[in-house]
Amino acid sequence: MAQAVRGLFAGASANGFSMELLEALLVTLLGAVLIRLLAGVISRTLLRGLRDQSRVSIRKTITYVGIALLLVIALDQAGVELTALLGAAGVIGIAVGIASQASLSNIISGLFLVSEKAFEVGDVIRVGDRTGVVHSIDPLSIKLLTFDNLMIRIPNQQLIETELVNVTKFPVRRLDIDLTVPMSVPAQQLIDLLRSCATSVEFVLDEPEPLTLLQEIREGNLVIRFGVWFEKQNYLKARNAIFVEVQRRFREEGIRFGEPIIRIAETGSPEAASASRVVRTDG
Amino acid sequence: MKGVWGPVELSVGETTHRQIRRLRLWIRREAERWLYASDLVDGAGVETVVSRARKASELPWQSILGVGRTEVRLEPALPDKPVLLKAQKPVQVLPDGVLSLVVAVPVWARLEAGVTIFEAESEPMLRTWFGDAQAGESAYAMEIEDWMVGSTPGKGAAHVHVPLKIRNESQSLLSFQRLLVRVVHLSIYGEDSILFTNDVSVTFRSVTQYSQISFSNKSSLDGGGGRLLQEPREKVSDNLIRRSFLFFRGLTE
Repeated sequence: MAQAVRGLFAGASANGFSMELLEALLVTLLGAVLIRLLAGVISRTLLRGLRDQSRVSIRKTITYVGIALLLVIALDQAGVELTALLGAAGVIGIAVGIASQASLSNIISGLFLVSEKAFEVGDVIRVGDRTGVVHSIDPLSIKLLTFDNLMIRIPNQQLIETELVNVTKFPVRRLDIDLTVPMSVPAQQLIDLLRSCATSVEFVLDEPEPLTLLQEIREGNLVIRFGVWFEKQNYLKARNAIFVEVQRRFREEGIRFGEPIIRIAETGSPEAASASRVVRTDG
Repeated sequence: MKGVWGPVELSVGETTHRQIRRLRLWIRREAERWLYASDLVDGAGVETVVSRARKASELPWQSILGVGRTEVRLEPALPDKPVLLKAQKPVQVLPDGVLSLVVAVPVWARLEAGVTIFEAESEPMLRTWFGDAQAGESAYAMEIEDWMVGSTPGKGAAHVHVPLKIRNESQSLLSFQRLLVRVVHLSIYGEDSILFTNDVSVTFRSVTQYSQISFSNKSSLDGGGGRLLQEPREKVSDNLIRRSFLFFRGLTE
């Protein structure tokens, strides 16, 4: 390519130094365009079958390596002595390396993250108290797009060290709801009612079967865990619909949600101690 | 089928109303556009009804523009996902035995004008998940009372009848309670108010060998006048070939 560019200016009579600079500039510009085109074509053809994340990573690698080579060619074209430059680059590299330990750590962490395949672009992940869709996976960080439309940059090293939950890794999920009902409600009636609620909601899956688990007796009430399965893309619809259905069916059946019951025993006299007052609170 | 499926012929300002089991569908033609609306009525047991009614202003109409000379058609369709048949009790097939049954799958209605405009199920089926929670597949669940019930198709345009054959070519007893039918690979044919598909057969050889699933080009329910109404949603592909050779438990567990 350098030869071709040189050919274009073969007849030019400008001063040699300016000409070399101009050639180097053209080589850089044309080379950058070619690298972008090449990376794009490879991404769309050879890498078509790969996951988005792998495709983007390989595309970026091709681009970065290409640009590095291009810079070397352009500098050579401009008449810069590369041997001396490479010697200087070694010294500078050590200095830069020491100064950019955090960046290097992030790059290495990024490689581990990619190889672990814990998540990919488009997954919904939870890191600490932040949840969002993975927008991009870059050498130094990942970009998370939250559901209230904020872009959060999380350094790769932090991701390696933090507990990360991939919410959409698997195609189906379970939503657990803990319901508190008075002890007077027969447990079997409650189980049947909740199973019937699950059947009524369109987005709730028939299988895996809904979970109904009598958890505990808390503050004089029965706590039951109701878990329904749904496909991950139906999360919002299923969540809203199941709450609406449970509320509707409880109202229809005349079942109230439990209120905490606190018994206060008045001490002092045996009569008073044996009698206790029941106080209901709204919790 | 006549009067339910096929071209929707309306003059400007006219509305037609069709009901297929629980699905009600209104189609209206106006000067510059066509409109359609649909809803689901409560309760089961409603069979196909064809009636004409004037427009209902409260309906959730949706517009179709650019119909032009294209014909608007209402066509039967099969569900967009596999159907998991679940029986109360398992069936047992002896070595060299064949289980033949006809499954009546609730039809879907598809409104099309060169491309699909709208489609909906005439009888909502339960959504289910077939396989493990990490790598299974989405399906509709259909409970059947007995594996032999419904071995002859009934009349009516509200179901598509799928002829199934399961051959036990192993030396052991074959027992299963559920069966996944990939209806997306089936065509729909129509004849004398009956909708049916091409034959599906599954050959079981042993627990440790792949079972072969084949989708025939013909239907054993065709009395000779069967007309192709709908091509399969998913054509035969490498993916299908891969899926056609499965361990039997991959279809029943």
